[in-house]
Amino acid sequence: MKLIWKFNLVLLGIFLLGFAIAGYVSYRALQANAREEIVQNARLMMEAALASRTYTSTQVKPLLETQLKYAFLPQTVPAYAATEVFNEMRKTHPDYGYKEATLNPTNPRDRASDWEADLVNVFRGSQSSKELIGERDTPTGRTLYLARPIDVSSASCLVCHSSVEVAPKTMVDLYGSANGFGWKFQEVIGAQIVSVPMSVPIKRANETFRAFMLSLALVFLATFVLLNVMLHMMVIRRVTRLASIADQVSLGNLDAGDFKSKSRDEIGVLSEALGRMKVSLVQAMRMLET
Amino acid sequence: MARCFRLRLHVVETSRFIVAFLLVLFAASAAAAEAGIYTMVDGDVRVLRETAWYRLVPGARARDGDIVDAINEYSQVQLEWTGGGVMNLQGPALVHTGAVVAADNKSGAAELLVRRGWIKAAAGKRAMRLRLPNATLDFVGAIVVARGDAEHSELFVESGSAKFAPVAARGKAQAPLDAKSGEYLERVGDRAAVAQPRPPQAFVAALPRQFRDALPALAANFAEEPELVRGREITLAEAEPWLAPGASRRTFVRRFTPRLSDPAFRAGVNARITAYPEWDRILYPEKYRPKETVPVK
Repeated sequence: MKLIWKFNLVLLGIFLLGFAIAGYVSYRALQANAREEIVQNARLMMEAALASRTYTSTQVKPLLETQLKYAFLPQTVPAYAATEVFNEMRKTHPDYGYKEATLNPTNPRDRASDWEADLVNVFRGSQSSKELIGERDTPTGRTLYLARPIDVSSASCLVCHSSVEVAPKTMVDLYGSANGFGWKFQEVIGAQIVSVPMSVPIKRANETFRAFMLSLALVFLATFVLLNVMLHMMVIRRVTRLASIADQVSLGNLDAGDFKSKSRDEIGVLSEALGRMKVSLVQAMRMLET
Repeated sequence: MARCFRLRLHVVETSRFIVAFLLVLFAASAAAAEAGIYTMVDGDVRVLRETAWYRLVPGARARDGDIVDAINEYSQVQLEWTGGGVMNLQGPALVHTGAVVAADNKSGAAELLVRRGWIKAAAGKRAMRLRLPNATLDFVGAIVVARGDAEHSELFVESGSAKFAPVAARGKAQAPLDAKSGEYLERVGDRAAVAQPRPPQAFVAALPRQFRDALPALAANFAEEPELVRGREITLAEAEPWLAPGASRRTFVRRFTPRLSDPAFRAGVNARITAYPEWDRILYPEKYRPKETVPVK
């Protein structure tokens, strides 16, 4: 097998191995970064929801206490406020979602669906569980959800959610007496769930991966070609010429050609040595003839 | 001895006269004293003092006896009493402001005679009385919203509690009802009052929007008293609501008697003189002179 083939085989093997390792490592890193970006987005949305709730309960509701005696204003409910803020955002970003999924809600739209109820029950079963992150498939694609428990941490919650008799009458007028009562202090009654689409960051990660791998392949290819050209020009062609001249000299054709080389590299040294050997051989042959 | 006694009696009687005269002067000055401030005036609102109308402006001082007329649906006026308490009227509304005179002649609860319109009143430590055409409401430290016209009274107790006393057509109050926070009462004509635990949707829907919020305290913004521009005198048609049969009729008959000097006013009274027996005596005193008896020989 010719030298260049051996060289190319080894080179190709090394390139393929490096390509595979680089591909695997970069893919994992890009996917992890994408997921981390999605999780950070979800956490940011969760903090925004909590901020909406706090603003509503500390600044908005106190101003509307008198109005609540005449008609119940859902805008004074922190959960409603947070949900409405996100519903407004969903008009331009429909793939994002926020819900205060509750097992026994006052507002029917907050009732937990099956998978949401499962999350709530996980929180209810484990006091130490403060956050759950997971992925699920939806009609619009893969979605990451971030969930935190909603517990009755303040006695003020029980003003509206303990019993019908204690609850504001205007609230009962609006929502009825069947739902949203019987909550207990420090009970986990639901979960705040933020849903963030994974498609865009993942797509971006995949595009980055493809661009990176394509660039790496192009670099490998260029390197492969250049190395082949250099090997041919600087080694194989010169060695072939030296071998051809040596072959002629070995067959007695002392005028086959000179082993001269202008370069001082290893091939040049070999050329010089072969040249000296030819001279010695010619002199030896002449001595034998005389 | 007798002379000394007569002298002492004369001195005592003179002293009593002086004291009585001073009391009358004090009472008169108290009546004209400032009762509060009109801290909000929107749209067309006028106030009647004695028998003349004045255009009301924010910062004007209130006097007991003011009749406040919020002329149309865009009119709104708020009165903050000096002794505490706030009243807000949404037009069209007509209200007389005063004070209940207690048995010992001290000024008691702030009193509002409501002839028509929406009113929201917040009583502080000083008691307040709302006289609707067919009901009277007494409350302390409570906030109420009421609407009244000639035949219909509605009341909602926003906070605190109140005593709701239906008034019969002849002016006699009936047994009062206790109204608790959140309760609604209604009386139509002379029918029995109806109490409900919650106000009906129709009442809430018709409620002036600003009544859903707490009444603001704005008195501190009016250090200077503006001057009111005097307008025309009250006409008989404008006086009619106050001359309707009821416990307060006599007060207003006395108040509007000077208007009999106006030919137009007098002509209107003459046209329906049977409705104004008090003025019949003034205009036609000869009808009421005792007949001369001819001695029988």
